[in-house]
Amino acid sequence: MTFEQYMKRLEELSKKLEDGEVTLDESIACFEESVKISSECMKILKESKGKIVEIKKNLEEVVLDFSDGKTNGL
Amino acid sequence: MREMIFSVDKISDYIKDIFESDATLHDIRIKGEVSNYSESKSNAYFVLKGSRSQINCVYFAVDLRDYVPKNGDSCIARGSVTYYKAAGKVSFYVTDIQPAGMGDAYLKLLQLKDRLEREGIFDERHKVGLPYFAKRMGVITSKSGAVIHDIIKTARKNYPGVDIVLYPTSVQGSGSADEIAEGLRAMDRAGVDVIVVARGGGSAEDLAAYNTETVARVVFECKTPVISAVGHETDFTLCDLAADARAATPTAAAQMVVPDAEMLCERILGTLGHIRFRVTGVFARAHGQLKSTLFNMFNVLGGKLEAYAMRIKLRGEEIKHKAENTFNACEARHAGLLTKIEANNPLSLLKKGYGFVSDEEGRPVTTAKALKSGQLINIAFADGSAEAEVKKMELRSEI
Repeated sequence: MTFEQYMKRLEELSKKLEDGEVTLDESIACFEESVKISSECMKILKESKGKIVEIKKNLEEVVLDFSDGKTNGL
Repeated sequence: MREMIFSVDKISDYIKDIFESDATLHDIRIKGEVSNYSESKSNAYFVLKGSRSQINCVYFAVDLRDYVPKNGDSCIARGSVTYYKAAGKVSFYVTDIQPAGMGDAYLKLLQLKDRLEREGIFDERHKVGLPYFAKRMGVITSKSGAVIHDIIKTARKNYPGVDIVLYPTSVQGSGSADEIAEGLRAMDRAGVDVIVVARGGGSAEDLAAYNTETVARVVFECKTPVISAVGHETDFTLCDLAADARAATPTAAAQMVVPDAEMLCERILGTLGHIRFRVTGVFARAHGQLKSTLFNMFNVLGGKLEAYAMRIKLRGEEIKHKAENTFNACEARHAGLLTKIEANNPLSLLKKGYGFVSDEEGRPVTTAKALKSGQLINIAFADGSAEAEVKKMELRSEI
């Protein structure tokens, strides 16, 4: 699932608990799923090192280094 | 040939139909000089003059327009020619008017824009929504210059984990449009969440690549959502119009699809907290229900147990009572029997002086008749016995 789908699902679960009469079993299932989703989202959000690549016409990727504010070719 | 007589209404309808059905009169541009300009209730009325003719023009909602023509202006007006039946007048209904003299290039651009617009390239219904959170962002711009740096800086500040995929192109000059188009096609295949086409501000000539049919069409064809961040906020390009969204600056483009991760974290934790609160509520309700059910169960059970205990107690007493009665009865019977036994005890009779007579074989002798003279008999007493011989019998006649 994409981050967006995770967020959507989390909102759905929250809404379901808010409006509906849910059984104890359903509420436990909701909670378990939301904890799982949240931790997946957090895993994505806490990622600290994205890469910067250059792609060519043939989709070949070359990693670029922009860390010093300058790069090759700049 | 029969001579036809039309009513004014009929012939006016016919004239109007002719105007409506002629494509040449619709959505066209007319160049001329503005004259007799007047305004009434925010509508403008004027004529556009040529060298030897003129046409009446109506321009609605003139107060909302950026450019308002004045007498003597050389203008290019866009609109449709219609026949106004009530006044029997031909009018040009202007939808847009711009000052002329912007050069052929501008006019050509406007014509291209009109053509693409008619084709539906800029239609809202073809636009796709931007991703809420782009994990992998494609950027098509120059590898050098501030634009890519601004995008990287903003995107990484919001979310350090973002992957940025750059397709470097020239952003002006010959061949740049083809490079940009090629970049868009490659990026669309590269599997990115969003494509940002970016360029800093510049003159109309500098932005020309982004005003080409090639770029506009490829942007339109991209399956991946495209954000156009070309030029300054005031410059509008065909690329902007064809894109799914327009950003005023490259920084704004990055902000549109890479939201602040910290804020998202807080939002997720907030939602989770809310869910937890709700689940706790469900638990509390269930707990309450369970408690009251158990309470009821104990009440019912307790009542039943008491009733059973009472029944057992009563039954016990009943049994005890019965047993006592039976015992008493037995005892009484026993006592009676004892008395009877005592009464019939032969020893007590013997003690009184009776004797027990038996023959030689020990059989009791109960009648005198059974005896013979000279027969030996045994007489038992309480304290012993004696053997005797029968000498004489006397029978009682009444027995």
